[in-house]
Amino acid sequence: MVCALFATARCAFFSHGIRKASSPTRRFKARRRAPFSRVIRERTKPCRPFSTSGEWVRRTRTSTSARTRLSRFCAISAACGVWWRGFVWYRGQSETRSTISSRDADTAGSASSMRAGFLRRARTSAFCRELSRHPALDFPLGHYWLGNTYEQLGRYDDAVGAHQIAVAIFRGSEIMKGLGRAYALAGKEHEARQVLDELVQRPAGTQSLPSTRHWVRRRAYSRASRKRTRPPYSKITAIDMNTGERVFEIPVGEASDQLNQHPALQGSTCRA
Amino acid sequence: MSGRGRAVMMATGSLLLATEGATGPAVLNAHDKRTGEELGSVELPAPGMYGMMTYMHEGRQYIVVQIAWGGQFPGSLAALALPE
Repeated sequence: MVCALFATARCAFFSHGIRKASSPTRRFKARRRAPFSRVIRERTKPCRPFSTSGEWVRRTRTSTSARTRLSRFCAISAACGVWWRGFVWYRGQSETRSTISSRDADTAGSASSMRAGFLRRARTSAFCRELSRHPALDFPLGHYWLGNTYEQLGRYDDAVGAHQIAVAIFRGSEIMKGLGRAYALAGKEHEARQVLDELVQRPAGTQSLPSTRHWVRRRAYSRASRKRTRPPYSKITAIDMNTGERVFEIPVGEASDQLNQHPALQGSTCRA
Repeated sequence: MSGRGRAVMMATGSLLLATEGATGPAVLNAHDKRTGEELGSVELPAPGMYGMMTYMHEGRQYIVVQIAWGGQFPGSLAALALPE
């Protein structure tokens, strides 16, 4: 009798338990149906098997799945990696370009010290990028460096010309020293002495040359003082489409006052 | 740095017609197409912009140039023809 009662009670308990036990199965199936959906899904989670009323407590909460979080993390990491790779590549590219351009300026590498000085100053990537561009015409140090290079190549007359242009743009003591040295090397003793006299007589501290960095940032390579595109500018250029040769070039319009009065271009004809 | 000339060009059988005038007098020039030599020049009321075309009407050849200059000629057409 007791055994029968026990068996009945057990059956009753188990039947109840089995009926309720199907709920976790449903929950499992519901989870399996869309285990890692991207959308914020609703998760059904029982807080305990039986509530006080004997029903399942349905607790819902919203959350992003682990896979969504993982994919977000991967995407952000990949984006950062791509950006960093591009940044490194761009910096290397700029450094290479500035090396090449300064090597071109050297003409046969005779002034490698100039290039070394260039690159020593041009450590940051932005600086390298600026140096890889064409300098402005009114950049006195450019003419000064050109004159130095001419001196090292033994072309003293060209050196005098370059230094004269540099002095015409900016009468700094360093640049005037260069002009005097070029005069001396070219054998023009009288002019060299004149330059030296002027250098000695000028009061100290007048018109000292701004730093290279200043010039490079503000004047020589600034966006305002250079063209975005390469020449020819303001010309009609006829190109033979069979051979690719330039047949003729006609200037369009007249040169601006800024160009006509430019010290570096005095004595040259702008209009064909 | 250099002149801000904007050339409107048109090529005909033997000529290259080009305008200039953003930094100087506004003119329409005729060049030899092969050598670039300037053959003739006609004044325009304003610098040419955008385009140019030519057509024949009742036995006369016309050239129409688009011109523009500030408030005076805010997008106009200048028609040129040889005198009869």
